[in-house]
Amino acid sequence: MLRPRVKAEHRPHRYADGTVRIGGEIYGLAAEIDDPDGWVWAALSLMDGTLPVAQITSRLALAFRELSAAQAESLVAQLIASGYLEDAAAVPPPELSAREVDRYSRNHAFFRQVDLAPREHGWEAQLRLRNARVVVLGLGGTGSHAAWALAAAGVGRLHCVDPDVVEPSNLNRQVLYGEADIGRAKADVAVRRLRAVNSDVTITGERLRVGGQEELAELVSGADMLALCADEPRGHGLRVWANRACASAGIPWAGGGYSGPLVTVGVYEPGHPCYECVSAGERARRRPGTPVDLGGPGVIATSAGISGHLVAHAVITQLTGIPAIPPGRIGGLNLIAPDHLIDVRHPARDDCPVCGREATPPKPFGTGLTGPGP
Amino acid sequence: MTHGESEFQPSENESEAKATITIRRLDKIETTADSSGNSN
Repeated sequence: MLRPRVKAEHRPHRYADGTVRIGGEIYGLAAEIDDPDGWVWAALSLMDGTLPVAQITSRLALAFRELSAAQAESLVAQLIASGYLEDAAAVPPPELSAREVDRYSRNHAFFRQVDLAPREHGWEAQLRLRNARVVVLGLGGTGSHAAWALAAAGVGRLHCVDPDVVEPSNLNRQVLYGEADIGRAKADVAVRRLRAVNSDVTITGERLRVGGQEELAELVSGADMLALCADEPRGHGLRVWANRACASAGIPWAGGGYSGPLVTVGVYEPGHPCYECVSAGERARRRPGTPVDLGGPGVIATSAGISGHLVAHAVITQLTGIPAIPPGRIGGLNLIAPDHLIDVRHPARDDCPVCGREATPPKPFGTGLTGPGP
Repeated sequence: MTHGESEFQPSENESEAKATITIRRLDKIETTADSSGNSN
């Protein structure tokens, strides 16, 4: 790092007892540092982006006689490693055009805030998205929002798949379609709309009803991730196909949806508990004999939107590795019970053919950035 | 100085370690949850 600067979002504060707060006050980011001698506060004050590291350490050692040059150097290095700082001398990478730098400036600021790993220029996550190919299967309530979010966020290649045409009853929640689109193929309308949203990414689509695991495997071939937003064939079957097809391809996938007010997304990646194990764990919690409730047709723009955006965010998190949330879990919320936040994990079953001990080892997956999560 | 006593003398490395800082992430109950500041 040439000229360290405390990230604007993490501006430090010093309490009367000398403790230094950094990272604001959001859980997962905020932290405190005991600083009885004022060394940390002084170092952070010098890290305003105008001084090189060597000058910061020498000024620190001059200001505190009890602090050796080596200690000052170590202290500055620890603060840089904390991820609360950025390099004021960094410039965007040449792969990004000036237009992209402007378009994704808020993405950049978001990743700068939530990513507590030292980076060269802070655009690493955006480049990961730009270089990624994602398949969105299903362009309905969940998929239309997910596809929009992924295109807007800058996923470089997005393939949108759905067999249906737009119907009037879709318009209460499916964000990519309007009244003039009724009767048209969703895949066609979605591609046109998404290209209009972001012409810097490549959007393709096809009208297809996936009929089996092999067909799904073909669909995700060459992709970095699958966003499963379809609900046909109903329920478990399609997810099992996705689970197995993506495991064979060595790629992660996210599947989301809603059952009335319950909105969830599951995220899976080879090497971690798979959908079939997490799902089996949930089935084991269910009272024996209870029929599986797939919910009725009830959905509102907000529940569909949250569902799609949870899927899209899971894809973004997984592709960038920011933050590094272990997959093999279901997360979500219950819109009629604010205190019911879902975070479900179950271990891999030893005899699972997909992720258990007997399973074929997955292909290495390394698209995510490395670095500590909050 | 005996060998035993020398074990309690801070070595140069231990002395250097005094510059080690501990960054303690706050727990949920120590943080607030009002995100209404930005909505654009």
